[in-house]
Amino acid sequence: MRRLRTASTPLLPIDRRRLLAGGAALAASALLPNTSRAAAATRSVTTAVGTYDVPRSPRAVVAIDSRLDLEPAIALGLPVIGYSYGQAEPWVPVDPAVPLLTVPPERRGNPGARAGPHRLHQRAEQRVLADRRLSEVAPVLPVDFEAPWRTNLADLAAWLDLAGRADAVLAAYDALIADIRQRRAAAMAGAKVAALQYSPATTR
Amino acid sequence: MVRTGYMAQAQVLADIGGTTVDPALLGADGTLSMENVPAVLGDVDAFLVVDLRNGSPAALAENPIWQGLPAVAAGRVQAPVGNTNFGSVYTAIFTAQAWDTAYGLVGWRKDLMTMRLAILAAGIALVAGPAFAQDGDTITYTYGAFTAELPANPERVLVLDNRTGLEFALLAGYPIVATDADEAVPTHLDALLGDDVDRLYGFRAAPSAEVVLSYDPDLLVVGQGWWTYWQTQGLFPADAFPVLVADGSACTASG
Repeated sequence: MRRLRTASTPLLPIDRRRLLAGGAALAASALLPNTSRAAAATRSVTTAVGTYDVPRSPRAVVAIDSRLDLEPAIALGLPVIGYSYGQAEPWVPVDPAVPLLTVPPERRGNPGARAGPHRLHQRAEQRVLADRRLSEVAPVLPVDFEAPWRTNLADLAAWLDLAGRADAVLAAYDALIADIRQRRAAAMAGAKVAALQYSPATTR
Repeated sequence: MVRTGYMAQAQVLADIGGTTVDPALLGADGTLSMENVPAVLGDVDAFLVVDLRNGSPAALAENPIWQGLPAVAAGRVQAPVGNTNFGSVYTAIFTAQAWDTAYGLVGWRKDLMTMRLAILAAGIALVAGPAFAQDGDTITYTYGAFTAELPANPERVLVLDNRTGLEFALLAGYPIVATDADEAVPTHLDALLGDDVDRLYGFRAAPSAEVVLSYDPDLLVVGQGWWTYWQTQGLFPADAFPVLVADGSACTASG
C-alpha cells in the first residue's frame, strides 16, 4: 500500500496498482505494469501533462476535481473508486459507495464563500499539474476547465479509446436538445433568457 | 454583483439556440453590478439562477433591485438546486431541463398574451361594429366613432365596471390596479381580485380624470352602459384614454 499526498489532501491511502487516474485530472491505473502483457494492455497517450502508458482496461480511476472529471469518467463507464473537490451534485449518477476522498483547503468549513469557481479551478489545475507525485502513482489525463464540456469528454474518450461510449452519451444529450428546440420554438422566438449567479458580498 | 453568460449554462443555451444578454453589456467575466441590473436585464423574459450552495439564490430573491425586474415580478425565474457552473454531460442534461422549464415560463406568458388577444377579439366581436387589428405590441381598436391604440399586454389596468368588464379583465388575466366594483356589494368576482387592487367607490356616478391619471393606467376597461352615459352626458372624457368597452348587452344578445 502506498500513501499519496496531494497539495489538497492529507495522506490518502491509495493502492498504486488499483489506480488509473484523470484530472481536472483523471488518474488511472491498471494491474501488472512491468510485464509484457501489461505493455500490450496499454496505449501511449500524450496530453498537456505528459506522455503515459494508459491502460486499455483501467481497474481503478480517481477523479481529482469532481466538477469536471467525475461526470465524463462515469459517462465513459470507467471504474471510479473515489473523487475529490466536492460532493457530487445529485444529478450525477455516481455510485453512492464511491467516496469523496478529500476537499481542498479553501472549501473546508465554508464551501460557498471563496474566491469564485474560476479562480478555484485554476488553483485546482495548478495543484494537479504541480504535484508530479500524482503521475508517479498513475497515468494522469487532464481536463481543461476552459474547454467546452463536449471537448473534454471527447478528449478523454479518445485517449481511452472509448469514443463509442462518448458518442452514445452525446446522442442522448443531442436528442434532448432537439426535443427542447422543437417543443419550445414558439416560446424561444424573440425571447431573451439569462443564467446568472449572485455574489451578495460583492457590491460591484 | 451578478455574473451571467459565463458558465456551462451558456454552453447549453447555445446548443438549444436561445438568446441571452449581449456580452458587450457585461463586465469582465460576465459580471454586472447591481445598479446596472435593471438596464441590462430589464428586458430578459426568464432567468435561470445558479445555486452556488451558499444561500445566494435566497439572498438574491430578497434584493429589491432584483425583485423589480419584470420577469422576476412575474415569477419567471427558474432556480434549480445544485451548482451547474461546471460539470459534463449530466450537468448539461440537467441544465437543459432547467432551460426547458424556463422557456416553459416564457411560453406560458406568450400563451396568456395569445389568450388575451383571443378573448379580446371575441369580446370585441360581441359588440356592435368594432374593428380590431394587431400590430406588434398594440391593438388598433374601434368602438363606434371611438378609436384607440390598446396595449396587447397591458401592465396597469383600471376596470371601471363591476360586471362584464371586470369579468372580462379577470378572464384575460389583466393586471388590475383598481376597480370601482363595490366591496359592499359582494360578487363571485371579489375572490379573484387581489388585496392590492384599489376600490374606487362611486366613481361611475362621479367620474374623475384626475383619479384615473393618479393610477397611471395603460388600459381602461369600461362597461358599455357607463361609456354611453358618460359620452352622452359629457361627464367624463373617457375617449382621451386607451379604453376597451365591454358590452354586456351585446354578450347577452349573442349568448
